[in-house]
Amino acid sequence: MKTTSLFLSILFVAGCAQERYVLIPDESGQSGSLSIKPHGKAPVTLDRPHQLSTSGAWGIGKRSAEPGEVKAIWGNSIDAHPIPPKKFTLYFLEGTSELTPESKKELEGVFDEIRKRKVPDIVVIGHTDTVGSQDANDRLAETRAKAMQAELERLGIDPESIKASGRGERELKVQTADDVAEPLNRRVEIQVR
Amino acid sequence: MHNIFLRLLLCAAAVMPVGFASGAADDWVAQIKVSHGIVTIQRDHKSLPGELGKRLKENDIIVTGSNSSVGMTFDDNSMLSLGPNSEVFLKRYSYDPTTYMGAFDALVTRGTVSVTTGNMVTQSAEAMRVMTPEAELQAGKPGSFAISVEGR
Repeated sequence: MKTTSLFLSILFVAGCAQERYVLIPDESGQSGSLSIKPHGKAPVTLDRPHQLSTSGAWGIGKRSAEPGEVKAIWGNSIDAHPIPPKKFTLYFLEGTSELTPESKKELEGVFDEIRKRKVPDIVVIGHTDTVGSQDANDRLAETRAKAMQAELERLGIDPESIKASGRGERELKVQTADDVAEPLNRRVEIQVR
Repeated sequence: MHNIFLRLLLCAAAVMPVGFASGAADDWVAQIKVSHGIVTIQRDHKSLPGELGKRLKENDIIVTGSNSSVGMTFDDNSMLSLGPNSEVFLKRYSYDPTTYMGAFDALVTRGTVSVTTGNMVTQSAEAMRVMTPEAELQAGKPGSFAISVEGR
């Protein structure tokens, strides 16, 4: 009798403290994978969307989440997930910090993305092609980033929320030899998050 | 005369470390993008309101009350959000935006938490670890997952 009640109380305690793990698919229905290493028990890997694992006294297994189960348990935390960061690449005319006409139009898209967010922060990174010295390109990249920053500020974005820096010719989008004019490398990346 | 110099020196000494601490804007590792209800940040034994736009640091503990939730985006674009009655300790966060190398250790002590991996996991899967009272989790491939820790 005593052993039975002890067994039941262990079950009760184990039933109270419980953990669950689940893979959430992205908009396209794909998911990553998750490896779970419970202390002192065999590890489990989840690798399919909505695959779920529950901790327990006997180790953990895996199964597919019931319809509605993920929303019932995690709905609140999933609803509080931030809007995913979005990246834009805008291009410049050779040797200048002036955007190409097409990129000027694309700036509108950047603004739409900023407006969607309650507390946007923006990272601007300037790049150059390999024409000119590395020093000159570091300066040009920074000038491009700062020009974008000034433009965003002029259009009403809070300066506190913008970080601008240059990477010169260190991160080419198209690999070229030195001193090659490459329009795709003369760019600024704007990340809105 | 000496007295004034001494005072200036003392003032400088007193001001310097403060200047360094507040000037290190790079300490910030994340920002609160969504906040509902009662959200608090425990930092250096102080409780701060976890309001919209608040910046977070390594070693911060984020706590939500009932009917509350919070979502944050990290430097490497990782995202973390907490449902009600949840608690997460940002044990370690370092990130190099040039190489995308970094380390992210988060401790989920109770509640419901969803996670989306960022640049550092895309760069190297081992970069991020999420610990719970009963297990250690690691994303093998970039994506989203969620955890619940009940009865704590």
